[in-house]
Amino acid sequence: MDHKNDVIIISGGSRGLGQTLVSTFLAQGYTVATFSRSATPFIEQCQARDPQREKFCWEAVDVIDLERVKQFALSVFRRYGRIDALVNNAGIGVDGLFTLMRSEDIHRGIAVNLESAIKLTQTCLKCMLEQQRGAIVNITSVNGLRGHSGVSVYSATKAALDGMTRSLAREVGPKGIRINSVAPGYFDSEMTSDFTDGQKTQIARRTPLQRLGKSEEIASVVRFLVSPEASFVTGQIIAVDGGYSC
Amino acid sequence: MQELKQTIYATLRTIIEDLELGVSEIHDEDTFVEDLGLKSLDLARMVAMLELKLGVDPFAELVSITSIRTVGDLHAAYAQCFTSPAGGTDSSSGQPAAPAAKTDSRANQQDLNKGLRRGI
Repeated sequence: MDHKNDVIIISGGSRGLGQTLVSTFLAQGYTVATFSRSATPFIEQCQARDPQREKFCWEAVDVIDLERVKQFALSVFRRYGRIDALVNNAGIGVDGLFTLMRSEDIHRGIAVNLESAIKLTQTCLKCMLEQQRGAIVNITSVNGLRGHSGVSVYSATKAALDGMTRSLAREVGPKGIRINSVAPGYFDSEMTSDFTDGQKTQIARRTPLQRLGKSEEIASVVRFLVSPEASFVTGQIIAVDGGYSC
Repeated sequence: MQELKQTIYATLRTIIEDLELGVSEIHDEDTFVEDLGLKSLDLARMVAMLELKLGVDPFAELVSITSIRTVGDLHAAYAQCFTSPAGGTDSSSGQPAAPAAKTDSRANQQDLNKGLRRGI
């Protein structure tokens, strides 16, 4: 499939799943625009390969600065003349016993995981409405689908994004714009890096496929949902969790 | 101001042609729903297209969508952005310029729904 003219924005593309998403879509021929608070060696490599920003651009943007998030999306539209797809990937883990959580941590979790995704979606949708086509994927979590102790606020932000996915799919479907969620289960990432071997073994035991996932397995579903192969799929929450939530 | 009017009319023509509504002429007094046959999402598309062209969205802060029934109303809303010392939401500075009559998006949606019933 030729995607040489397609432009995709991926929030939080400097590391983890975001890095895998950026690599996946660049390999598919997309023009990829991403942002994060600071550059990583991965970002610097991508920039070195494309100093003219023909197929890759990155900017330093703190995702909680909503005006900067909006301006980033508009600058991508001005530079490349279109925005075909958006992946709301940026997010942070918010964990701890609910009654002991600090207000500051709760507010930051909501700002990063939810508010910034809403702002970025709103801005990109304006471009997609003009084009009358587009695809959006929200990276949510199985925590938004099932209850798990210690992640109430995180679950709330992810379930809220799933709600946005469903409602927005109905709202903008008539204009040819699709929106879906990918809800990863436990996979090798920063969020699971501090899990003990015992915790990982326990997760694997509770997972029908008997292991944690890989970021590439999440990215391949996102790639499918963005592509024309998923042209009749919208408003869906796709769990990619080895069967953990089934 | 004539240039602004031309931009609004050209954008509206694009939308009408895309929808194949069969409207040959557009007038300031035409209502969006009854005369031109647009739906709320078409109006949202037009506001998005105009924001991308003009860099302003009067409905983000400055003007309530309920006040917009006709093409002339829409032109006046955008004209207000460029004549008001406060302006609209400027995409380059990003600063909301004037106190909002209604800044809550739910309120705006309710306004739009009410407006639709009234024939926006």
